[in-house]
Amino acid sequence: MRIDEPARRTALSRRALLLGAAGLAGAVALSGCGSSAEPAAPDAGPPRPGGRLRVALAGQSPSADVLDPHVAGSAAAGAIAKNVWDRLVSYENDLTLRYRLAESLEPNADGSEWRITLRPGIRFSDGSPLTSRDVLYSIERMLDPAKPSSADLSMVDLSRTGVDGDLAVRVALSEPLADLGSVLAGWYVYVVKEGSDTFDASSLPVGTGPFVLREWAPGERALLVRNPEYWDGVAHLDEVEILQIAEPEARVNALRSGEVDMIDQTPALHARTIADEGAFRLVEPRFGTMAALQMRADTPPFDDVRVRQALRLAVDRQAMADTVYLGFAEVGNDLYGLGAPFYAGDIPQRPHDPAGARELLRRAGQENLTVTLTTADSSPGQLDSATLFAEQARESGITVNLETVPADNYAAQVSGQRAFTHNNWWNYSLDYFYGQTTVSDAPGNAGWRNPEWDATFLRARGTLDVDERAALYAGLQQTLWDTGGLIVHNFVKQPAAVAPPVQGVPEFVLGNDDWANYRGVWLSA
Amino acid sequence: MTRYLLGRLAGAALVLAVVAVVVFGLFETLPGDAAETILAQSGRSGALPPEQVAALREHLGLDRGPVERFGSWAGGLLRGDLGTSLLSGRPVADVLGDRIGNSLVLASVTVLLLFPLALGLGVLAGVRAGTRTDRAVSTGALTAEAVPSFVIGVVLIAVVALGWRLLPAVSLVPSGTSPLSRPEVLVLPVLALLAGLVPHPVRVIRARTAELVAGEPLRTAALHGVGRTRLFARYVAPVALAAALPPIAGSVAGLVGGVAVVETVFSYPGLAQELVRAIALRDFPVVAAAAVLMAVFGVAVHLLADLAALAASPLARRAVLDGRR
Repeated sequence: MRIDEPARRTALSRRALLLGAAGLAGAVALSGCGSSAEPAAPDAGPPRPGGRLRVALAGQSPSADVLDPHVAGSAAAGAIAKNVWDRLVSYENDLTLRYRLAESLEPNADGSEWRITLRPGIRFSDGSPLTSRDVLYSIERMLDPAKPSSADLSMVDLSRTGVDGDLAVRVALSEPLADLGSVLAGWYVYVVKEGSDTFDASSLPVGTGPFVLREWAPGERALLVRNPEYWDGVAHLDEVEILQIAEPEARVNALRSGEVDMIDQTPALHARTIADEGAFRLVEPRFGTMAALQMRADTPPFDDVRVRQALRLAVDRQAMADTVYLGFAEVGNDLYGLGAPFYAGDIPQRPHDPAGARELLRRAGQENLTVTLTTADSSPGQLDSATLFAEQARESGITVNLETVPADNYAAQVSGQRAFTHNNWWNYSLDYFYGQTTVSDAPGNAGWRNPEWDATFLRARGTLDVDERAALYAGLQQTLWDTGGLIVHNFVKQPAAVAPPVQGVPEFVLGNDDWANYRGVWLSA
Repeated sequence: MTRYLLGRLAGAALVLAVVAVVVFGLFETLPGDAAETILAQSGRSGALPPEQVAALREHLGLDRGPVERFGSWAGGLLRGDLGTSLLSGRPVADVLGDRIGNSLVLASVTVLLLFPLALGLGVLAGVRAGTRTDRAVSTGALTAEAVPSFVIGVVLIAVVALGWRLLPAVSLVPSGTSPLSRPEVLVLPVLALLAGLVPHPVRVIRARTAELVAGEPLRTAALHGVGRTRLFARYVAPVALAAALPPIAGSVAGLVGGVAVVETVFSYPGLAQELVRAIALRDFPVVAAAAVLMAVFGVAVHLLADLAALAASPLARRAVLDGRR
């Protein structure tokens, strides 16, 4: 899933001025509704059926937008996919598994082969039953090199994978995996009906989700209607209209002027104003998404571990959370994956310690250190965090020069590849993140290489015993905390905001099962 | 006249060819491509798996050399084929069709209001040069010209849409329908555009009119007893009109840029917004088609304005048609 992909932040660099406008707008709104600003408390229910929920999310431009759930990466497309189709398993807010279409996932003795058993009695919205053949077809489609799927299922060995009766699929893997579920819960891994291959406005394929596609206009909107066949409790809403609005500020404006009832990913400044005004309700994610600085451990001066440690001590995380993210953040401890299983929450919080940083630099012979941070306006608050970090580092005797580059393609071309950059991965399992960024031969490896660590990681990934795996992961994270190249200063939350009539919006983590989950949403009178 | 017209059309074609080449050249200098954009969509940072990037490039035809890519795109364009989007695989013509319509509606409504407003205010101020009316119009025009249209747009959103709740803050236009079926979404964008476009022609027209009113011929005519109304209709108005056309044409061509800004501020689903987003996504067929279409618009407006100016002014007509060696 995507929260802040650079492509969507248009090159026009309108953010600064729109932020200014937001301040203005906030001031106007504040002065405009002094007496009507009573807090909008949620309605306890019981839920009223009926009505249409209009929700605005970040989307794609009309030329680039796709409906295919195996390909679509934008927030709006993800919300459509989630409400029309379903996954075998999905992530709970704590990144453990929530069983959806699958009733169970069972490994063989070494985790090299898995048996997926489907929940019986599930039907597609056209009335046809969901079977193991639909699941196999979906897996094959995601792995077909001629199809543009973005799902990461490369460990599946198709030649030894097949159905086992109507309700079970045997999945063979090319290497043992202790946690196939965390892969199957990935953003793109949806089960579509066997034979579904054209996903567009004229075909409107069926799914097993709580709603059915009625209309789809790429880059603009989708209209979903209730699925009466839905297996997990038929939805309260008659209809959901998903509108795509790229600019976060425009989403806020749409909510304020009554064009929509709910918005996703509210920027911190607006979230603060909305929370203070009380005219709209905020739904805050349980955990935020990583905001980090990445030092390349193979590039001077960061090839000296003492320099990396000094920079980690030089950042004042709490000040960052308060001034850049206005409180919508939780401080980080230089480790990825807050809220995920096996996250090493018991490693002590690294403090802000300018004296300690100076001492480390002195021992490394790097007093009066000067570094260049390559930054871009590619994610909310990122430029501000870079500026504040430069300010904070001065206290430790470090001069941070900022080099601002265009936001487009920052994530793919700059992050982790220049000596000192930002790194914003969204919430995945530790398995996936380490496999993509940390092992020596990972495509996203940022210069930190440790063969011993690699070996332990491979062992951890294939260890079925949970306690043993937890112990291995604890050790892996201790090493990263001591010597790694990431300065994880915060986990940033981007709340949803809803109009007073909207009820039943669950607490969520961006991209997980309860994000953009409209199954239980209802509108009060 | 025909020769003049043919010459102008040939020039226009040349301009478009240059635009196509320059757009392609500039696009080539951008870092990254559509393959990387597609693969970077899953919320990750850092380098992408190289074999996946290579496979996708081949699939999209991005592994060919620049000359070959430009050739195949330009060839398609000449046959009227705008190509397909690299990101979604949908035909560019389908994608841009609605958007062009929306942008044209926004531009046309603005132009329809621009003419009477600019001419009326300019002549009014010019005829009454030095009076309080003149000072009000001139100061207003200068102020509006000094404020960028995005600031005006943002203030309009803050005050009219969010403060007074009179009009929508975001111009959502359901696809398949015209913005004219929801005219309220047009009001603020058009106002923001007019605020940027009206002042310059107003000031030019005012200056020309004032000069004319104070000039020898008109004073003489007035002394000879020609009535005020007749003076205005016979002498002032035609000259003011001819003087107005070039700056108004400039304003109309400037709409291309103005519309881009206003579309972004109001989330108005137009061509310019699509262009900006396609650039960020490295979707060349969309970028190129949108840029060429905008250039066509700009060139056509200037040509039409020049022809209109020729029609309105005998002097200019003589200069152009007889004046060539």
